[in-house]
Amino acid sequence: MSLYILRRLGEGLVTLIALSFVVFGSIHLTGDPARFLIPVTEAHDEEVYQAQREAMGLDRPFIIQYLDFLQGALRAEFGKSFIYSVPVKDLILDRLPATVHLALTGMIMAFALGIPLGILAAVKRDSIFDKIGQAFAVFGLAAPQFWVAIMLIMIMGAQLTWLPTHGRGDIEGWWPEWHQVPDMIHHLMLPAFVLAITVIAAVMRLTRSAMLEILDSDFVKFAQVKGLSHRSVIWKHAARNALIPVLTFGGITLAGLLNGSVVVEVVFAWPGVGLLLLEGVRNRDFPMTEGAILLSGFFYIITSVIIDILYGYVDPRVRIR
Amino acid sequence: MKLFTTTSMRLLLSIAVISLLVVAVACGSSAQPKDSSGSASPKAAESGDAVGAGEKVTVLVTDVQDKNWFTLSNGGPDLKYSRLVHEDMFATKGRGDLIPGVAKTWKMSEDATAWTVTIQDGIKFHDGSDLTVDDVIWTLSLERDGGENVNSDAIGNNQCADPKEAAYVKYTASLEKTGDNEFTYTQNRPSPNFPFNFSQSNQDTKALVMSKDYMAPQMSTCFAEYEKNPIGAGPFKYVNHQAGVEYQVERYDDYYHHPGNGFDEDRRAKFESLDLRIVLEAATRVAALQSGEADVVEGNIQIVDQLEKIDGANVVWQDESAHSWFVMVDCWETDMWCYDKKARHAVQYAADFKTIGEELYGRGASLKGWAWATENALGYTPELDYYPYDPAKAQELWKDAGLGADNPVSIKIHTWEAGSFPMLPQVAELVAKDWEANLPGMTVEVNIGDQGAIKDVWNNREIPGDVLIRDNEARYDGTSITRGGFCNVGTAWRAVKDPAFEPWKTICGEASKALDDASSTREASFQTAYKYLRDESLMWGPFFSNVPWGTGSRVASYEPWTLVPYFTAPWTIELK
Repeated sequence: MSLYILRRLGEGLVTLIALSFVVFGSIHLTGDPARFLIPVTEAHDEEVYQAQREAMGLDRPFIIQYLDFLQGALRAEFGKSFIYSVPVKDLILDRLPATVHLALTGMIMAFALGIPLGILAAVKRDSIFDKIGQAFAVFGLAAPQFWVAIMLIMIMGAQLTWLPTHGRGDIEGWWPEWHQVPDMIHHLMLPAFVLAITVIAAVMRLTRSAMLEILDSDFVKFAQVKGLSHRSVIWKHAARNALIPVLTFGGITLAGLLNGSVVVEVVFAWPGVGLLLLEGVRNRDFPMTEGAILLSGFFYIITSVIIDILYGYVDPRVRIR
Repeated sequence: MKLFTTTSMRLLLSIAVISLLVVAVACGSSAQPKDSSGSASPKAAESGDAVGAGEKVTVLVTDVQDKNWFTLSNGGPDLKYSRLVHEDMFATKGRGDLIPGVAKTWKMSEDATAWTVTIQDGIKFHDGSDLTVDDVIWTLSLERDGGENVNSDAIGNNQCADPKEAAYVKYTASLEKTGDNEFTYTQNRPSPNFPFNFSQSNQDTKALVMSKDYMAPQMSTCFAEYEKNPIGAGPFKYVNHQAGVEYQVERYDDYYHHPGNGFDEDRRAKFESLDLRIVLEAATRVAALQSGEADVVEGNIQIVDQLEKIDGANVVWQDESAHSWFVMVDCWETDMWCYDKKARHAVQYAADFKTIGEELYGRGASLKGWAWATENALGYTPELDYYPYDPAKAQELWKDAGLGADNPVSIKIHTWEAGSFPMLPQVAELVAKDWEANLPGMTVEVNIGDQGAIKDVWNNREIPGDVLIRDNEARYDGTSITRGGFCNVGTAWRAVKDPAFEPWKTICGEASKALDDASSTREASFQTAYKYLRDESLMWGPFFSNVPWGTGSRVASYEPWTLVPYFTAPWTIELK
């Protein structure tokens, strides 16, 4: 088992390094940030331009720039943001709590709503519950996130004034004060729901499919015939087996949610990492873009490694192979 | 069947309970419409010395730029928050009309190269220290001093600011303290626009006066402490911020600019605190105004009707905030279709700017002026207005320029979606349509792209003969931009290939001569220069955007400044 874990961690590291090269190279292909940052009246002054490039380290050979970047990235040092003029690591750490809170809330919503709805739809197959559930799933998967966000803001925020229209409230950092928790949840509701709606729909459909398959299986029928209680049949036998793929899906989805949704963060003015990435791309802020993308890659890779390791515990065949 | 019915009911019950819990917690925090004041019953604020006790005003704006506080590391849009805490060297009444402020008196030398300025007594920074001439000199020396009192080593070595800022050092001849409260600043060129460039009406942050005692010791850390706690002498004191997200300030009770100190206007805030938030999405800003979470929101022409429909809300206009800028790229090359001035005139006569402006923008734009010479700018005269729509004249000029079906022209118009000037892509499409319809042999492709990418190809001279349509901040005094566009050797490539050669030598000479002429009135000088440049038509622009600000039901009035971009004059916000 230890060898398996080490192997997976090693593969993850190699993937991250390969990702760093692709990210670094592709961002540098997008254009010269030095030109972008110089004001109109000085743009073609060669002296100013060269000084700008030197300050940004862009005058060095590409491979030197990359190795420098990689060395820093391994220590989570991505350099200074071109626009904020502060270390990218500090910026990301400043915004990470907002992203994590949003992602975790979204995940909780996704499982708290998606799983019961999926089980209900499967148990009451072809009933009105099933039809509504399926309609909601289609809507959740198909409706543009931007549109859903604006609609909810207008209805729940502007018209009904039940929930805030934007921002995180007065919350800072990772741990709010106890008296701030209701306000924090208040501000999280709409953006987390918008972020999670696709996941709710997907979890619901996955749970329904898995439950339907399990409910038709011989061991469930045998459990019923044996006279076990309905609770036992559904929860101890059927659901436990049906939820394995759902939890796997959830793990990968968490990585996606942790990367922050640019759309949700823009519309709700949610100060997360997704917004930083958008700013980095718009302003040719190489260090910030590289840092945000690598963080995103890190989340995906580490999540898949953890899931693979957990799978190794659950299914010994996986680690032997 | 009973088995599944019970299970279904339990599942339904679980879902219902979870949902109710969530809704209860969520809605429990807000039993009534959110009141951004935080107080139980907002009361009318009185003018003069009274403060709206406990009153908070929330302002939502679109993006800022560099998002940090140090003035040489940020750009124009950062004025939205930095001007709350800091005071500019020269005060204005908006537009560009200079009035006493930090600078009490100022006098220009006969050749317009030197300015002698006295500093107001009794102004205090937020930490209680006095604002003196030493602070103003220190601020100026950060990037403008080439003499002995230089603090620009850090800047010159690119330690604490972007190297582009060091470029201004080359214009400075000297900066000397010439009295207890007086300094003399000399440039190596005529600089009649010096006070404007360092005033509240300018578009960048260089004029914001820094405290030497507070800032100088922090040079080695690039002002790290200042970034956490910026201290200025402006109408508000810093409270808290998250860069690029939110800036919280509170009224500075000892702010100097009020009638008690001999000033005409009381510029102290009429409320206790201000919360400035960046909200990129316009629909969200509208929703926040409607729900009462925001008191003032930055709008655009596309949401004006939504703002007007909100109960109790109003729309106030910040006129001439930005100008459109049509650039005839590389038209100084002799083989360009647009080398002949007649061709450049023809395209202006061929487009119906009046209809385009009125239909697209309505109240959101004005059409009086040329390029950056808007109606309220220095040097405006109706003779600078856009060329009237006259297809017959356009075709005549086009033919005289040797263009037509026998000598067709195929160009691109490059543009982008600009925050400060909406609907430039639509303008480009409509202008292209008019040109194709009215100019024989002309085909126009519109390229709507990323601002950075288009600026790259423009700077790299990769779009010769094309037209660039972009936005830029409007301003009262156009010396700097005129010089930059036409006469600075390093930058004049945008309009000239080599200023030493004709016709650019004449153009630059004529414009510069007029702008530098200290003997004539500046108004007359600008008119001369602008008329000349309008006729040359290498750069022009018929539209000037007016920014609508939405004010909520708590706000009795707000009077943003004309010709000054970004969030201005917060002391004019009065609550009901």
